[in-house]
Amino acid sequence: MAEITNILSRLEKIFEAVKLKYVVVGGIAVIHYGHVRGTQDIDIIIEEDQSKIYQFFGLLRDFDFNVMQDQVNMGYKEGTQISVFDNKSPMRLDIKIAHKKNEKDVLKNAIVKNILGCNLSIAPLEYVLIGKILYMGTIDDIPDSELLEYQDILDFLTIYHANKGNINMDLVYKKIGEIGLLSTLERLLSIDLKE
Amino acid sequence: MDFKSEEKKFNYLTRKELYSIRKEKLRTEIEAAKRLLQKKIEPIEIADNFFHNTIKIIEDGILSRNPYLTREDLYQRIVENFNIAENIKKQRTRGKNNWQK
Repeated sequence: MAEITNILSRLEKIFEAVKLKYVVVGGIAVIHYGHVRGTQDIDIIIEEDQSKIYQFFGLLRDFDFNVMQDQVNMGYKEGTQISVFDNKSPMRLDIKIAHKKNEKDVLKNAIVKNILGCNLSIAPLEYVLIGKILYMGTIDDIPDSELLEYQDILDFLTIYHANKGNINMDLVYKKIGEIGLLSTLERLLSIDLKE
Repeated sequence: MDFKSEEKKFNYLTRKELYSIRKEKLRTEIEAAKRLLQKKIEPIEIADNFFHNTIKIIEDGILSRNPYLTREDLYQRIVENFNIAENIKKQRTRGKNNWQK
């Protein structure tokens, strides 16, 4: 079993045991929606539930992940990212406890999909696109000739065009409008790939 | 030889040309993604195999220079290599703080 499959399989067992709400976001979600690219981490957002969180990190240890307790404590208190290395491969988990509105939103809207034989909770395509725009922020300062040098922009354009027609764009516009980044969305959609 | 004559000799790409090349590459990526999705192939499986083989090549490279490394030390070396690559890539990452809004 290769590295990502192995990790996803262990995560499925852990989340099933602890009953903690979670959602897979980031690179793995981008790949799932069609953009095959390298990644060294699995980004996960988990619900803020103290009674389950410490059990969850305990189970990660039992399933061969290297958990550093100080990072967990800080992640819980301050909402910082908790990096957990895998003892069986060079990959890592980047875990965030949902504190912010956007994190809670994607967690609430997660969908369960069968991925490589594992039932996993993953961000819907629209939320992956929204997440990419959130990460980019405003891009007014980037000249056209440099736009395609950014990984987040390539991710967005690839999964947007590959899935065109199957995306709820009303939702994307609504959410992006709420956070004031419509200019970023419109600029990305205006890129003419044919010329 | 001054810089301009050197530039002519090697025929450097302009930013516009680079942009066109990147666009072409992106079009190919989109077509590849569409094909996978149409054929109902799980893209993570391909990425996983790619990652697995990449790791194998990196491991072989490190072990050929350091044959007595333990598995733990080997992973540590690979992670360090990844971190270097990631830090370089971060130069081209937009403000992560937007996620915190």
